[in-house]
Amino acid sequence: MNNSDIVLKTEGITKRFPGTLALNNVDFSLTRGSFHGLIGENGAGKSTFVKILAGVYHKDSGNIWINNQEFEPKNILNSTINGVSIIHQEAAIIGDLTVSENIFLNNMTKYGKIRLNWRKLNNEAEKLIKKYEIDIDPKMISGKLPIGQQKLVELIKAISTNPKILILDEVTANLDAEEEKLLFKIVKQLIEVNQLSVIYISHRMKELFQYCDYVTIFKDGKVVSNKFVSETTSDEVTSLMVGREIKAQGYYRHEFKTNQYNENPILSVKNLTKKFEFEDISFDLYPGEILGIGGLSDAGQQGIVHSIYGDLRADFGKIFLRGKEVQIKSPTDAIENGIGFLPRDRDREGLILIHSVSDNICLPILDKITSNLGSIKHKQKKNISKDYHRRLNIKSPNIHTQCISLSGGNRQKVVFAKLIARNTDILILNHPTIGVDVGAKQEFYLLMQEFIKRGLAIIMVSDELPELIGMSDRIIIIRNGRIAKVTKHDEKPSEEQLIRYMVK
Amino acid sequence: MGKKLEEIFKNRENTTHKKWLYFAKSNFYLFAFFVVFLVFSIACQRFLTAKNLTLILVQASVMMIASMGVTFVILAGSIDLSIGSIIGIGAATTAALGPAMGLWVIPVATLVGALCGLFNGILFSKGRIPSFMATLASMTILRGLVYIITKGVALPITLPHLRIIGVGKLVGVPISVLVALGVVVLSYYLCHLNKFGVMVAAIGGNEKTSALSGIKVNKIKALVFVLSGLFGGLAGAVTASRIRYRDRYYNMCCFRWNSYDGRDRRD
Repeated sequence: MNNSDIVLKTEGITKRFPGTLALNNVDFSLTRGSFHGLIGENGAGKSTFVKILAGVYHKDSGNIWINNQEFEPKNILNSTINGVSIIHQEAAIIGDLTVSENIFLNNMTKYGKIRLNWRKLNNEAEKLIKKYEIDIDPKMISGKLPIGQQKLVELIKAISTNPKILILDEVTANLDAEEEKLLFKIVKQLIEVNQLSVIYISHRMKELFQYCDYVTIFKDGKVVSNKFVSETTSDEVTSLMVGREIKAQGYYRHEFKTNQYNENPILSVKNLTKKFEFEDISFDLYPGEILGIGGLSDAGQQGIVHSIYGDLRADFGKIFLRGKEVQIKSPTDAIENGIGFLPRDRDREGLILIHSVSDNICLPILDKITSNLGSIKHKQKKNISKDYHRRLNIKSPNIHTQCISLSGGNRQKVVFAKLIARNTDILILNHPTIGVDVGAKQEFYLLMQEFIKRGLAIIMVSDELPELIGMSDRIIIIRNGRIAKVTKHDEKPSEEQLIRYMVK
Repeated sequence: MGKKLEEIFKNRENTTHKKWLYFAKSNFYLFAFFVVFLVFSIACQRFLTAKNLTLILVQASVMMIASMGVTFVILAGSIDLSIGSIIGIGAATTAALGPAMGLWVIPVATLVGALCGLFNGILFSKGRIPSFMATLASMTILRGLVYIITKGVALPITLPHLRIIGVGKLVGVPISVLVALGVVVLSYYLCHLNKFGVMVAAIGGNEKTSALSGIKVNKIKALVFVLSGLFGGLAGAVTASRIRYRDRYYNMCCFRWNSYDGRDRRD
C-alpha cells in the first residue's frame, strides 16, 4: 500500500459538544477502492466523525487530507464538490418533491438557469435509475414511496455527483432484504468500476463481515483499533467495542423474588406488530418486576413502548391487563388503565418548560385536584406539589419556579413526580437516567425499587447496559424489531453477551 | 440552545428582582392604557365626562366579548381569523330572525356562532388544517353566508325588545356593558380557576407533553374554537341590538353585516 492509494486521511480530529468530548484525536485513513466499516456503541462518535468529513459539523482541531491535499470542509456543498457524498441515518429526502427533483436538487442549474428543462431533468434521472436496475418512476412524488425505496433514491442522489468517497451512515435500518441486496450490489459495482471508496457505519455485525475489507472500532470518541476484517472475529470486535470496566455498582439490586413468575402477569402483550418498526412482540410483566428492554438505537424499542402507551397505533396485537383485554387507543386510555410513561426526551415530551414545577406535576392529575365542575382546588394542588417537591428532593427555590430554570436531573425528577403522583400500577420508563448525574441516578434507582416493593411493575427501556443488567429482573433484547433474547437475572448476563445478542 | 435560554431566564430574573418593576413589565398594557387615558383627560375637556365614558364602554363591549374567546384560542397556540365573520353571522342572525323570535334570538345567535366555531374546530383538530388557513377559509365562507342570510341588502332592524340590550340600563350601567363584564368574569374563571384553562395553557405550552400527560388534545383544541365562536355569536347579537339604539333618529337602521370588520359601517 503506497501513499497514493490513500484517498482520505485524518489526523488528530477533535470535536467538543457542550458537556462531552465527542471526538478525541481521531486518526483515520481510507484506501482507494476499499469498503471500510466503522463500528462502536451508541454515542461512540462514528456519526460525528463522518458528519465532520461531510461538512455538516466543523472540527475543533485536527487535519484532513483528500488525495494528499489539505481539505477543510465548510459545508455539505463544499464536500460534495470535493468528492465526498454522504447518506445520513435520518431520511434526507424531501417528501413533497419528485424523485428526479430530489436527485438533482443540488445541481438544478445544470438544467436551465432561467427556465428549468423538465424533460431533460426527468430523462437524466430515468437514465441513472435504469442504469442501476431500480424500478422507480422519476416523476413520482418521493414521499409516496416506501421508506426503503426512498433510501435508494438517496443513494442515486449521492452517486449522481460521481463522488470519490461515499459515506453510508446506518443506511440499512429501514431496508428489507431485497432492497439491501440491491444497495450493496450498486455500491460494489461502483467500487469495482469507479474505484469508489466507501465508509460504512452499521451496528449489524453480519453485514460488516460480509461486505467490508477493513473495520475501525470507535469507543468514547476515540479510535480503539483498526483491523482487516479477514484477520478478526466478531467476538473480538464486540469486546473491543465495549471494553469498559463495569462501574461502581451502587445501584445493583440483590433481592430478586424467584416465585413471582407463579403469579398472574399484571400486563401481557401478544403479537404486537407495526410494519417497519417491530414485529411479533409478546411478553408478560409480573407484579414486583422490573423488565428491561435493550437493543441498538433503531431496533424498535421506542415503537414498542409508545404503542403500549397508546401514543402510536400498532397494526395489530393485543394487550391484556390482569388477564383482561384492553383497548389502548390514546395516552388518556393508558393513564386510565393505570399505566404511566416517562418519555425519553424530557424537554420535548415530558415537561412544559415555561410552566411552573407545580403546574407540571399536577398536569396528569387534573381530575384529582378539581371538583366535578372542573374548579381547581388550589390548596390541594399546592399541598400535592409541595409534597412531591420535598419527597423527590427537587432543587428549586419553590414550587412556582419555571421548569426551564432547573437542571437536567431536577427536570427529570419533576417528570418522575408527574408519574407517581397518579397512582399507577405499571410504569414505562424510557431511558430513566439519560443525562442525569450519578447522585440523582442513585435516587431514581431507589425510587424504582420502592415502587416495585409495593407489588407494582416497571418496564425500563435503556441504552445503558450496566443499568439494564443491574436493575432488571429480566432483559428483553430487541434486534431488528424482533425479540432476540430474554435473559433472566440469575443468568447474570455480561455486557459482551448482551451486545452479541443485539448485533448478531 | 437550552443553556442559552436558561441564561436568558436567569438574567431576566436578576433584572426583575424589584417587585414593582416586575409588576410594571408584566402589566405593560395596563400602564399604557392609563397613560393614554391620562393624556386625553388633560387634552380634551369632554373626554372625562360620564356620558363619554359610558359611550366608550358601550362601544368597547362588543370587542370585549369577542376578544375573550379568541384569547383562549391564542393561549392554545392557534389563531382564529374568522372571528369578525362570526360576529357578522351573529348579527345577521339577530337581524333576520329577530322579528319572529323576539329576545330568544340572542341565545340562538350565540348558538349559531358556536356552530361556526365547531366548524373551525373540526377543520383544525380533525382535518389537521393549520388554524391560520382553516379560519382564513371559514372567514370567507361565513362572510358569504352573511350575504345569503341578508340576501345582499342592508337589513332593517325594527325590534323593540332588543332595545333593552342596547339601550337599557341597570343601576345606571348599560346592559351591553354588563353582558361584557359577565363574559370577562366567566373567562377569568375558565382560564385561571378551572381545569379547562390549565389544559388549554398546557397545549399551548407543549402539545406533545400534554398528549402524553393524558389530555385529550384534539377535543380541547376543538372546544377552544367553539368557545371563540360562542362569544363571537353573542358579540354579534349585542352589536345588532346596539345599532337600533344609535339610529333612533331614522326610526330604522340599516347595516351591512357582510363587511363587518370590527367597525360599524352604516349606509
